[in-house]
Amino acid sequence: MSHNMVVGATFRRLLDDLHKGNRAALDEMMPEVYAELRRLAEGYMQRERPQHTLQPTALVNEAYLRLVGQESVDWSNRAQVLGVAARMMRRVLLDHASSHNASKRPGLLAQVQLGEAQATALPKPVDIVDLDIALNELQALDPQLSALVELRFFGGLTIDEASEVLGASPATVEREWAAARLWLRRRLSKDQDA
Amino acid sequence: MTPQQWLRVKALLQAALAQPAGARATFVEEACAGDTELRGEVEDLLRFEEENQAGISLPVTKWHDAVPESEPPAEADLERAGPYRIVRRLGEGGMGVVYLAERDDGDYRQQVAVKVMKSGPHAAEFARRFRRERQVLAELQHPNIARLIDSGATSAGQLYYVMEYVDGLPVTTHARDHKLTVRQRLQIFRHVCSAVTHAHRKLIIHGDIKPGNILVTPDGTPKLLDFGLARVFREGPAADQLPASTVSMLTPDYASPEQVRGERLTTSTDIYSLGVLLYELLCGQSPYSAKEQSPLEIYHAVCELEPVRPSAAMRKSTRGNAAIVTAQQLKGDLDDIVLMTLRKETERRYGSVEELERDIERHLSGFPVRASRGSSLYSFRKFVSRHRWGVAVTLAGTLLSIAAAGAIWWQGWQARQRFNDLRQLAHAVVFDLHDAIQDLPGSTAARRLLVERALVYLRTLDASGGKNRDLQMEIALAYDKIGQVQGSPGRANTGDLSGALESFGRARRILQSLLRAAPNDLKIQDALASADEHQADIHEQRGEAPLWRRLRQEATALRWKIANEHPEMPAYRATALWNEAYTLSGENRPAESVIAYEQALTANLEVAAREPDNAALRRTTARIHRNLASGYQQTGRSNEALDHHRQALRIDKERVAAAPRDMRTKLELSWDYTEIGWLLHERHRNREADESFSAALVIQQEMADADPQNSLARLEIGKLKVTAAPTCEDAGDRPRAIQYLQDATRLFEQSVTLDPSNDDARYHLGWAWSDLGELYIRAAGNAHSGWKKASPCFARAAEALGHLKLEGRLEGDLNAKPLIAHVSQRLAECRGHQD
Repeated sequence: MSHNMVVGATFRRLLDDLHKGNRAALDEMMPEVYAELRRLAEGYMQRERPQHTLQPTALVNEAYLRLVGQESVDWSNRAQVLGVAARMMRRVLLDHASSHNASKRPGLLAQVQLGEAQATALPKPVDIVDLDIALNELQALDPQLSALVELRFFGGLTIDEASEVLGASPATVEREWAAARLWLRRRLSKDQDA
Repeated sequence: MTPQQWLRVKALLQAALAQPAGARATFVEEACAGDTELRGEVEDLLRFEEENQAGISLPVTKWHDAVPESEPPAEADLERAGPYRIVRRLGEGGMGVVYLAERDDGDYRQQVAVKVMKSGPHAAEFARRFRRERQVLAELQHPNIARLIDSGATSAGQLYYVMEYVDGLPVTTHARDHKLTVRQRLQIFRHVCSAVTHAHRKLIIHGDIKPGNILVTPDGTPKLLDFGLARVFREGPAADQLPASTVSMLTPDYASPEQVRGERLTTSTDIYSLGVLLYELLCGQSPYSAKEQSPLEIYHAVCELEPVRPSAAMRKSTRGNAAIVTAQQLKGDLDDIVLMTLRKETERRYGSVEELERDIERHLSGFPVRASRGSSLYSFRKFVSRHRWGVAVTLAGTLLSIAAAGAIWWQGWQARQRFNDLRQLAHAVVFDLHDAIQDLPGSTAARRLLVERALVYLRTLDASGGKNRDLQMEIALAYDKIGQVQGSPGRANTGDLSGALESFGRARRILQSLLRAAPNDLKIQDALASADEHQADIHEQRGEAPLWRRLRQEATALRWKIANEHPEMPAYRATALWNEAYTLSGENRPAESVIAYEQALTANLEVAAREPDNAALRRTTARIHRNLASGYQQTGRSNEALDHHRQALRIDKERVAAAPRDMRTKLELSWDYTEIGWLLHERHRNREADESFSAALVIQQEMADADPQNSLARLEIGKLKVTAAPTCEDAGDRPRAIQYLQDATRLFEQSVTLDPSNDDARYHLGWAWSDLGELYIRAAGNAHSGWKKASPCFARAAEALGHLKLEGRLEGDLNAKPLIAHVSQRLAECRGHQD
């Protein structure tokens, strides 16, 4: 799956920088990651068919692979990059949802499955705009927790990978995740009751 | 709730979760020790934990009005379906469950297969469509097609249809179990082909050809199932529309690119599926190795990846048919035949199933097959227009057709590689990726890299592209874009003016030659006018007035030509007017430019009124206001000037709010603040002016911090500080004024070092040093100490200005002579003070 050589080379260099401890490299990466995600997501979403499932985590992984290429990358770097991508993915989905709500095309249904993390966390369907609002509230309350949810929902990171990105032990992340689930459920059930 | 409160709640919550479920309530009560509020929160949250245990339906995120989910088919045993008695379950597919049934009509016993569809919101729709299709489908009579017998609805309302029961194995399984040779497999395949041909003659498309739908009876007869039903059971828009994709219900492995893309099904779709089938039949594996079923991977695999050649797949394979079918047998003809059916573009596959069948016959008889010679038949232009990646596709198309004519395999492979490289580059680098990141912070370094690579490739393409007009156009546009990255003012750029000139030059040369061949082509005219304007900007920055003038004239002429040839498009007239006005202001004819700008504004507002959401138009409106303000200022009408600046500010504030990450918009907003600041300063409203300057500074500092390599940001901050320093001083804050000027000299110094041809930076450097000198003199109250401090400043000013190009500058451009004279005089005075 050889992809864009130029972007790949730049990206790899940025990854190297990151590996050497240059966290600013992450910021440099963001525009490229965003662009790639947007391109992928838009290209995909143009082909809307009823009841197809879009998996953002698949997109994120796809974007990662495209940007980096086939070379295996240090695992801890990968987690960080996926963290960036998760953040971007959230933006991409939100942008898309907003523009969709604006155009109001009735009768089309696209299901977005945010991965297993969501499957176990949220028992009912939720609108992505509502989810975004809820996460913003959570961020004001507990930024670490909000970041964790973002990583897991949008980036598809496992507990271990998330712990790598957040710099906490997996046990801690498990506990945090448990609390996050409950907070989200409560918060989102309010939306649905309303 | 405050974050602190939440942390307490969270800690307690986590501790409670660590307890066994039954013990939680007591634990919480004890741990809260009377704090009812805390307890209430924790208990409320814990409520949601219990819900975890309930059955979790598929969590989804809905975009629009959701359709209630279809329930899974009832697990309760079905006993009857109309006149058919269910004997046993045969299996389950994407569409529903299949049962073996018998018709019980007294002495008439017939074994049939009954397929019961999943119930759901579309059941009624399906039933309706089915009734329409049934008549046609029932007419399909062919020894290799399982007949459709009947249809109906169960008492529970589930739709079912009844088919001839075929007792057999899927074709691939059959081939494997019976260890069929290549020849034998091909014979079976030909039977399948004849069935499909029969249906195609009746204009029935199968739409879901796969091994599971082709059962082979013990005597070796293949039978196709579910013919034409893909059309019926697609979900989605009204039946009157063209058959849409059925991927959601079909097995994705066998979907054709057009199905994946949701396009209409044609007979070519069946040809593709037959290709997949043949591939599997011969190689024992799928042509693509999409492991997961994520729609994205499917799309990528089916629509973008080239399948591995069957012979190559066999070479690598250790399982499947390795023992019976060898790579050697597949190499050559069969490779070509299979690949031809698997082409991504429908027009490049076999035109009909019959052609496919005949090629197989030829192979079996030892005659040369058509497949390998097929590629040169496709239309070149058609190939180009089908894809959006004009540049790369054209060149690659040439390469591919050469390869086809030569029919050397490795050459073709290399062409495909190059095709992918070029396609990715042209599409992703020059256009897509650039557009995505050009106005985002932090992107200058990446863009510089992109530019370098893009230039290399463009030069190669340019050299080898030949005379193809579309290709030439793409290249010209790419050069123009790159030139903008390299050096246009007003955008984040890398400060390389000479490089920009070269790029624009190339773009213009190409466009001019294209224009000679097609003098009235609107696109070319517009592109050339833009390139002229972009290059003119560079000349302005370099102080090359005659060149600037010539290009502006050329651009103006083109713009008017376009406007006059298309009177129905007022936007062109607006652009032409603006272009002229801008030229006039550059020639330092402010009175005339004001009139022209007013006309341009009116024209622009007219166009903008029809397109309120057009961001580009709003930008232009703001720019024209700014231009007008500048013109009024120069003609001494500062009230009007201030008013127009305020208008521009209002619009730009809205624009920034609408696109908060667009750096260019922010830059323009900062210019508005700066100009207003200066006008206020002139009216001695220094406090307000200072506020305005500060607002501008905040924005520009933010931009510079976000993108350290952005030379424009650096320059702008320098200019702003030079402009704002007098206001600081007049407002009584001399130390800050000094700080500003010192900062400014540093920033300009950096810019000049980076690009010595940048006279704009050089001039401002001289200006800043000069102002600093003046300030020291004033600060010391004209005392000796002040002059001593000022002396090196003036010296450096003189040095900077000394390198300026003075002749041939534009009238409205920086006029360095007065400043140089002033600085010289001051230097002389400084020397006088030393004595």
